[in-house]
Amino acid sequence: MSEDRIIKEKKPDPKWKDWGRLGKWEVAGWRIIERDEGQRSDQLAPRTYMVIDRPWDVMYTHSYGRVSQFFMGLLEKKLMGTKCPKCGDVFCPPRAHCWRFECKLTETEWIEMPMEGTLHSYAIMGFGGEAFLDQLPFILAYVRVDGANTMIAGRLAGIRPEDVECDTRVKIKFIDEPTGNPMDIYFEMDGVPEHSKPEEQKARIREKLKPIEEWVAERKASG
Amino acid sequence: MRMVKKVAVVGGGISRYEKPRRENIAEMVAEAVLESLEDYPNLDLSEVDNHVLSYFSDHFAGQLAASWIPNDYLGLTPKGITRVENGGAGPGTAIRAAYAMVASGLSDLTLVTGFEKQGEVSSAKANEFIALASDTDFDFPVGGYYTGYYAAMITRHMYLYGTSEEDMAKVAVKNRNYSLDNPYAQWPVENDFKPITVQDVLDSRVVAWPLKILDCCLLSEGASCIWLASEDVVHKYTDEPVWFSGLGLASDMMRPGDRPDNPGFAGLFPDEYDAYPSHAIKPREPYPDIANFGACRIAARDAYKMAGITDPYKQIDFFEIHDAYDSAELQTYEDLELCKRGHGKDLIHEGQTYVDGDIPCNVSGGLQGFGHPVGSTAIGQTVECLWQLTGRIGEKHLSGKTQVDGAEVGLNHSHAGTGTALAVMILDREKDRRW
Ligand SMILES: [Zn+2]
Repeated sequence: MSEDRIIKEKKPDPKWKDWGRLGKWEVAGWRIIERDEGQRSDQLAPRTYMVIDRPWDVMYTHSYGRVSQFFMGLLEKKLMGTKCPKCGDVFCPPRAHCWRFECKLTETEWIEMPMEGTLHSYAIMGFGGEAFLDQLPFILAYVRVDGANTMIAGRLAGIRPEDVECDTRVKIKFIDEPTGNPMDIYFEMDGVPEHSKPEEQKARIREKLKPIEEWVAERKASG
Repeated sequence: MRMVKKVAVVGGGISRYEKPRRENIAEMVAEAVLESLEDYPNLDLSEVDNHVLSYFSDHFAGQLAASWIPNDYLGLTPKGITRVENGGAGPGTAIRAAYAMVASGLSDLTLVTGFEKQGEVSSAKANEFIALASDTDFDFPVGGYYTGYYAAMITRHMYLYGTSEEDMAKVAVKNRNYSLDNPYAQWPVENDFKPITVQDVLDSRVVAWPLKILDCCLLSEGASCIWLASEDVVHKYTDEPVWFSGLGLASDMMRPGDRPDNPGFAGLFPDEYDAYPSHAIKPREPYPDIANFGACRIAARDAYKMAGITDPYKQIDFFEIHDAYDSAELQTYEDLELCKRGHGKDLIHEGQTYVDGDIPCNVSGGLQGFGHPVGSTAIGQTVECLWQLTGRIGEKHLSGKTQVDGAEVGLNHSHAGTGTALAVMILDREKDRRW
């Protein structure tokens, strides 16, 4: 693999690593490097480049729009969905207008959803954004809340990841202090899953998750 | 009414994929264009009357309207420039837009270029940028990102059809090892030109089970270009044009969770209602559910119809498809209707998608081996199609090992989101093939 060979350098103040959000597109640091470059990998030759560090970030002030009521409901620990008065389709995540051509963007009506559903599919997350690293490995689940024609994404708790299987029943729970974010709800396995994987496959998954569990434990221990 | 003109690819070039590339975006595009000018000496930038450019993300480029920079760098002002952005299907959609401009007579010679620069931010930030192309109110805030979404899609497929991690790993091995003789490919440079095995894939770190790091494509930088000419002027540029015979474009719901009951698919595939495995809870629309890419099937059917193709397995000689994940390549075999649903794994086990099989797929290395600089990806794969169809692989790669013998018809597949936008194109050595 080709790599940069530093010729000269001014290191950025370490604050920029964490404080990128304060960045204003200034040249915080730079390196003059030599690197083997070229149009094809069999035609590489050393060239010299200047590489700069240029922090920049932004705050979005975002409206949840006409489905704000879903998020306001989360704050009150109520799971809200919408229902089309014409065709009866139920949306959770909600839509403010129906999706059927024949309903001609009929405005939907708010309903409170039951706190139960069925796990449709899932992934066992072994890596993720900074905010989620300490929760690894967690289960990203798509759940059909009872009665809904859409499925909502969230985390599934209360079960070893290798024991999860599609088409099993789940309860929907709220965290203690909701913040108006879909993370306010999570799913919990309701009893023993109706379907399960072969024991050999479960063992393999357990084995594959070990290094991730150890990595997270070390991460937590070191603060 | 004006006749629709036939359109051909009359040249192309690639600036190799790696992360990072230290050339800037305009210089990478220029390298790709320079290669096309050298390989096709009759091409002349002064004769271009239209430029279509594809890149995915302003966030990656750190530059809005970045299409204007390569445009003026190539000296193309004051000719028209159009940027086409459609997620991962951006490059395929750009080719389609360029095709439409040439076919309609708006242009006689259009240059299509594409690039991406994914290495200016950390890999974690890069994955976050890509995740911002999912629903940022519902799917991203719960810890979702693309590997997770694709994992949830193949998990359902595994549950329905018994697809396994080994099946997927075979695809990763095929594509990465095919890339070893491709001097434009990223994986060989990253892996010291060494082949990998199924065990290497299975042993690699879990990103989102069942997907491990070697099941996933690469973050890349690089560029590519193709030249599209109308039938009126093709003869000026090359004796070996490659003709567009079929094109399709389709879409699906942005949130995978909105797909299983989507009324948009009601009644489109009547056989699928009874074919759904009986052990599973059948959604209102069993195809695509979240186990397949419905937009792919729609786009492919449109392209097949336009090209007069009734049996893609027999009539198409090779495929360049969007293997962002090896799992997606297996699903895509099914959605391109190369086999029945649930049987994608059989094709890889039988060896049919290897270079000497019936339907070679991604012998360029695909996104896993060649690389995935998003805005360039399907344009670069079209250049590979051009080389395949004109028998140039031996000349352009380090060897002719991945030349598909006697290739006459190829398919290029450009895929976005979780199959959210899909462009399919069929390229043919013959202008008017009679099947
Ligand atoms: Zn309705």
